[in-house]
Amino acid sequence: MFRKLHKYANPNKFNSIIMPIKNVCLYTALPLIVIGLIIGLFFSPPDYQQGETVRIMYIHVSSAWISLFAYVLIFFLSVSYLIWKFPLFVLMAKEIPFVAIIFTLITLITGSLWGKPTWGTYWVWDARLTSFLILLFIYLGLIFIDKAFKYNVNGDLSFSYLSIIGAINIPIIKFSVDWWNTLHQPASVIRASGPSINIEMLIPLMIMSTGVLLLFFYLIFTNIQSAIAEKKILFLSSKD
Amino acid sequence: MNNLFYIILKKDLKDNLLSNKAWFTISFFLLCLIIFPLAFGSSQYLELNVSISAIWISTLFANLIALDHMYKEDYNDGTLLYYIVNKVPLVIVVYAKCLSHWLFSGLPIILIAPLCSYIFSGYNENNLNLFISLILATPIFTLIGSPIAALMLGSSLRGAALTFITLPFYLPIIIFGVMGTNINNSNINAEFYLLLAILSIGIIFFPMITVKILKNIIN
Repeated sequence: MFRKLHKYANPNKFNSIIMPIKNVCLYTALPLIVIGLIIGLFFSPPDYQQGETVRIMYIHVSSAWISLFAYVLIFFLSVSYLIWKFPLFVLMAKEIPFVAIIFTLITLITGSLWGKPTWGTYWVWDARLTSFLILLFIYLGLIFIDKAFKYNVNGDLSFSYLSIIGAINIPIIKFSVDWWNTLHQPASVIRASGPSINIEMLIPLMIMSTGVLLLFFYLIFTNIQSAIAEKKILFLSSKD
Repeated sequence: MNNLFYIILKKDLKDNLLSNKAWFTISFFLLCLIIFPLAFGSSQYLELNVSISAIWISTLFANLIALDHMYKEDYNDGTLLYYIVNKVPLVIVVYAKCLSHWLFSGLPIILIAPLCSYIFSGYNENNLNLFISLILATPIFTLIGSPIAALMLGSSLRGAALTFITLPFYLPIIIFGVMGTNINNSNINAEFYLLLAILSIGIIFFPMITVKILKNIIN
């Protein structure tokens, strides 16, 4: 089965197939986000404890999921690069931190805005919040290590290994609310005994997170296309 | 195998001693520590919490300073290539490097730190806790730093980038170390057990990754 996919490791072939996928992503993401926001902001019920401030959740939770998902994607792409040595994998992995860092910042900022009315403070040094801040700095480190190897081929290897080491942080973020007594509330959607969240809140959350996921893919595909073009230009200019 | 380990360790220790870099680390620790009382701007004793955090921060930065030349010189003058060509197992090299790094940037700090804490704050109740948590935490600093120092071989950015990339991975160790230091009269030393668990996983895991990275980067 994987034999059939091998031809798409050629950047030109890959470029030709992601072009339509990219447009589909964009034109489904925007309506989904708009619909999700409208349902979330106007038609979903307020929380019985937190009141109207719970509506921040529709942005906060979906961008938090994306920023974790992005790291998992980087991890699997790096492992595939180290095993099969297709340069396209690491080319894709290197473009993800630039997008993911924006979602991480959105999560941290909306989270601290949500924290002020509910916890009475913008920031606490709680396990979930601290590990998420570490995720932000790991993304920054990945960007720096990519830029540090201008005249050397080892940059790809270093990037992949650093992302594998940094993956230790992902289970810590996910389970920090269960392992420690945190101010941050425990998971209510993705958990072993099914979601405990109200169905009327779950629907707009799912619509929002699908929309944000598609938007994330659109941004990544655009970045990958420009990275492939950049590689081509560098190669052509080095030929002279 | 043991013989080879001692030969490489002896070579590393000799290089460190002769090149004055060993003394640079510990003097950096002391210099960094002096900044804290000066920055507080008073001639009185520091508070106990402040003196402990000063010691932890100085330990962290002394480790990071020493990390930059953990593999760099051996990489630049071809010693690592020589090891690989002559089929010296890299595991031995990595463990010897980690041990020599710890002997120069961990051990002196562990010995000095309780004394510094007493001089700065005038208290000595938490000194045993500080001693134990430093004994557990400084090897973890060295072990976490070693794969990242190996990653940065041959990059155009040097010390600053290495510091930036390594710091996030040190943060959990700092958190548990400081929590372990501040325990007051309790017999449940959960933080020490946690640090010990991280150490016992890390002592296998991080050198293994370092060997992989060195093999890939040098070939």
